[in-house]
Amino acid sequence: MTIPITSLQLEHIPRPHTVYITLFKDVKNATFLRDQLLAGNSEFEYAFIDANTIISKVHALAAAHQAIHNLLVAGKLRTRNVHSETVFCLSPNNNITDAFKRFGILPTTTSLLCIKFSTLSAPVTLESIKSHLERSVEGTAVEFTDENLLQETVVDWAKVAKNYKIKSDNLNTQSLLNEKAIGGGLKSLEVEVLGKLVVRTTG
Amino acid sequence: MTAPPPDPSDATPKTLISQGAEALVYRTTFLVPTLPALLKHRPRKTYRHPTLDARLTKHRVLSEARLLVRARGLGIPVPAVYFVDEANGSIFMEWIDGSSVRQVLDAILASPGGEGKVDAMMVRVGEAVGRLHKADIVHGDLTTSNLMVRKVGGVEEQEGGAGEVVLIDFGLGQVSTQEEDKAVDLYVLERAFSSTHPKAEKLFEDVLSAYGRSWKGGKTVLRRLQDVRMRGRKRSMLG
Ligand SMILES: Nc1ncnc2c1ncn2[C@@H]1O[C@H](COP(=O)(O)O)[C@@H](O)[C@H]1O
Repeated sequence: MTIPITSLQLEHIPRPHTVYITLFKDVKNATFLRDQLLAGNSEFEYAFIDANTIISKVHALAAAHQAIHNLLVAGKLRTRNVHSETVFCLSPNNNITDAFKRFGILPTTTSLLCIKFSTLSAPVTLESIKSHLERSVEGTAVEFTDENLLQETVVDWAKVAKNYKIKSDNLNTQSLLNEKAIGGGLKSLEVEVLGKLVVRTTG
Repeated sequence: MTAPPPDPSDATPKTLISQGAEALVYRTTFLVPTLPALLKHRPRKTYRHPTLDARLTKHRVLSEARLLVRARGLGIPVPAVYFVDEANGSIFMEWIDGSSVRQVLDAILASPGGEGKVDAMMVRVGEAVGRLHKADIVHGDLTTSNLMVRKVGGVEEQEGGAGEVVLIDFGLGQVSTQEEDKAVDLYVLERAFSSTHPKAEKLFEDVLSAYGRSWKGGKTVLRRLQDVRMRGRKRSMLG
């Protein structure tokens, strides 16, 4: 089995930094993966995110971008490393424990978004991540795309509404799929979510 | 703590589109190359004490971002904020694809009978400012350049009809419940209209009546505008 990994260099982040992303559905060993995180097993230094809470690529990438920014600005990192920081940066508030509970992997997680950074001080290769994830995650890897986030790993809209205090009226897969991008910009739901993340940083 | 210099290893292309006294404005992208964005950067002012400068920059950037987020959250048409780097003096925000009301007016009013085509746009300007003021946000520099008209389906505004009017540049904005501040916003816009185009002055009446209809306090602010005009005239007579 070989799994698809998205490799990205985020805009405005210095080039050597690369982010690797893999999306899994039908994950069967969430408890094991979470235990490795809790035990501080350095081989499992990933942002393990419950993909049900993620509405789009941009949503996840905005958190990854804020996390790497926090890593690069002295004294800005609020959590242990850039990976835990990514989970924290998905939160609309400054409560770290709460962020892990809301967005992080749980024993019940079946859809999993794995994010791994290659940084200056800790460079990693795509090959090493690939083989490690292939060995470690019991699940089906799908490409990291908006369509797969909406239709394969399935968004929990009630959770999204609760996490970001968004009125749940127009909140569903169909409306996000139907809505045409405005002038190449973001869809209104993404804008609303990004707004909540910005408020955490600006107060 | 001083703001770090622009990162030389930032390889993302950006095009300078405007250079004001306070800020450099670039067209660029955010997160991925397919997402257009506007970067507003307040460079360091070397003549100021570094600590003071860093503090002022941070304050202004956060204030502008907060106003934008607050307005957008209330459904007021302003660019969405994508990311704030207050230490570096940068705000990344939504790229509004379109042209300024100033450009639209110049283009349309140049043609005979053009005034009739911009009525709908005037109404949307009045309503947008009305919604802003209803939320107790004053813009501080309302000019026809700081009002954008979104392209609709990739088409530039020509008939003054369909495009959403978006308020931009909240660098001088603030939260205020004062009628006086709101009236001054309108006065500044009125002056901008009359200096944009001779025909535009009459059009401003449409802006004001739409404004007056658009929210409960609108009429009171319009009355206050009379006082502001009087004072403005006296001041200009004194030279
Ligand atoms: N969000 C935006 N999208 C597109 N163009 C913009 C935006 N904000 C500002 N501009 C353009 O950049 C110029 C300077 O921006 P500002 O300093 O914010 O007034 C404006 O006059 C506009 O032409």
